[in-house]
Amino acid sequence: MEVQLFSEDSSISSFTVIEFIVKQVLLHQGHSQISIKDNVDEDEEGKSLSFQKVLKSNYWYSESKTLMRQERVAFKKALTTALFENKPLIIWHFDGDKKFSDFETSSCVAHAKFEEILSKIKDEESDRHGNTRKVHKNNIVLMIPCYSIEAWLFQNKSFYDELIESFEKQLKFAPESNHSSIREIIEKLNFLKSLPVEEFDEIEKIKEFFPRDKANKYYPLMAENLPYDELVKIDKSYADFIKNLEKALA
Amino acid sequence: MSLVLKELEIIKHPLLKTEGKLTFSDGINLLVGKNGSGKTRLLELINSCLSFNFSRYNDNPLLLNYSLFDEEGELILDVSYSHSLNSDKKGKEIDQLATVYIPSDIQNSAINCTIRLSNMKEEIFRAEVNDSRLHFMGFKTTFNLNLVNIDSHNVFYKMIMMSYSKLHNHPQKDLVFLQDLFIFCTEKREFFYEENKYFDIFFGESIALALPDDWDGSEELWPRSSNKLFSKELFNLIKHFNNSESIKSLAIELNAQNNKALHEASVLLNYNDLYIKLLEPEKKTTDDTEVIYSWDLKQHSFKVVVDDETIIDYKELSYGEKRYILLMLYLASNQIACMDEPIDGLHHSMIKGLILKLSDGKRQSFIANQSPVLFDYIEFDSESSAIDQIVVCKKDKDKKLLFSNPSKLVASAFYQDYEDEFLQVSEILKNHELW
Repeated sequence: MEVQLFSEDSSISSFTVIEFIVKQVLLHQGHSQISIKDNVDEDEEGKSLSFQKVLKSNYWYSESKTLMRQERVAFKKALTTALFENKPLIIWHFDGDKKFSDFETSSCVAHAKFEEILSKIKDEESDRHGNTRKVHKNNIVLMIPCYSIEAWLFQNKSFYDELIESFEKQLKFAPESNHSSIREIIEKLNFLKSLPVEEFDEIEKIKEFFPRDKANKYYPLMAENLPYDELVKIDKSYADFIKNLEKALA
Repeated sequence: MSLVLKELEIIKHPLLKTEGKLTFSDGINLLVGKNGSGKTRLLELINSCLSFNFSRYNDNPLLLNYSLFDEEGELILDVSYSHSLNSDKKGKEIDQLATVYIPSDIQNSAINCTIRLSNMKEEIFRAEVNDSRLHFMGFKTTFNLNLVNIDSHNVFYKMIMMSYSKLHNHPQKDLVFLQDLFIFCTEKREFFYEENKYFDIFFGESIALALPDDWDGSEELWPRSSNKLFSKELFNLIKHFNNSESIKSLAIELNAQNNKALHEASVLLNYNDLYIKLLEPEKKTTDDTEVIYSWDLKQHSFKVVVDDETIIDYKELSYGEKRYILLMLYLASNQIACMDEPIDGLHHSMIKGLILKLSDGKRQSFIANQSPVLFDYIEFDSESSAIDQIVVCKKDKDKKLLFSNPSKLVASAFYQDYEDEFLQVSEILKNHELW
């Protein structure tokens, strides 16, 4: 199964985590031989760099527009091309940047922009050779974790004891001047550990609860052992993603 | 912001024609059309309107109406150009440049005297009100400027200053058409004297030198008044400083540290420094013991510091690099930019740099262009800005060159496509048959 992954996460490590989650989800759905690509194909006339730039820097929906129009156009062209017949499933990730419950009153900026873009894509478009081709908008699956992808990752609670223990050890050897900051980290980890799973989608800026320098090591581990079936039951942002996916694959 | 050209209507000319009044944006304006559709001709006319120099229209009657605008208000000008050489009372040649009809509401408040530029001894430029007309007259002599007896609306002051500077220093045309151009300009020039001490002189307006390809370095081959002015200014300064016993040497240097344009260019081109230096003048004594200072302009150096150990001559830069540096220098000292195919030879990063510079809110620019790369960088704020920013040039059925803004209908469709952001600007221009 071929999947085109659009993700706003720009660092390789973050992107790898998103990619891994997507792969795991599809495996859970019973799909096999999953091939994920994050670049636009050769149809885009070497515009893939612009495309990546505008996607990963959030220029596709940001208000800061200085001389970025060309990149946004390249991005939309790439999107349209990807929606042509026989193109793979497109999973488009952007963080909700909002608590899940806040989505009931209004969607996030990126989501609103996404809807606007999609509404302007016609059902049929001409490719660069002038041939009219059908556009399959239903191929797009939105993946909008709330507040961010960490809300899903942190629900894997199997690493908190190990982490808390390592910081408690640090307390014994670290100079006293560092103690307050280490204690703060331990406090935050304990908070995440004790948080009911249905609350993770409701924490603003949740990634700030996790020690930043441990993200590269623990995020992939957390993704690997994520309780995917449990996440669906919570019926929040992850469940929405699965619903979107099932609808597209139906 | 300098004076801005808001509207232009050609009332009478055998070849050029406008469809109603052309309106312009105070930012970037695009002149679009096929080859031979008159883009360059319109650019020249715009340049004439802004510089009050209509001498290129000597052979054909020209009647036009245009309006200029600055922060203090709008000035509507009806210009009929007639060229003739007269003699003034002193027997010197004067050049009747243009006659401007002054609107009645400005006559009383703005102009109540003769505007005169002189060096205290001789008059070098004059604008007079007579029969509700402002007559521009330039005497064929140049010297350092002193402004006297100016009691006028700021618009007129700017007009006169621009008119004067354009008379003697006409960089737009040179920049556009000469391949090898050396521009000497800065807001601040540093004169070195007594080792490690500096004397700063602020000139304001820059001086541009256009080096013809066949120039052999001799002063005699500097027929352009701009170059004469430059030489005179330099010689006067040298004289001034060399009369002081304390001065041991004299040189002029612009570099990435003291010149913003060179700084920006060096950063973008990834060079450690770019500098322009004019070396020490030669001091000669004639038979009647008069001291003459001559400056061998061949001694100027324009160097590029690649790294700590490598310094190369400006001429070793690539065609595109040279053009970019010159464009940056030009824009640093010119508030209005009339440019014909400015991006020839430039990498897209330089084109972006140029567009950013033109979008700095300090200048109005007019660009004749055939490159989609440049079009794709242009931004539009609204439907009406699309009307003002685009001038479509084409030949009409009578083979006249016809200039027009896009209609409201076309501009509306254009702007809708622009806002949707599914097509690059060049593609939208093509789709709507504007280009």
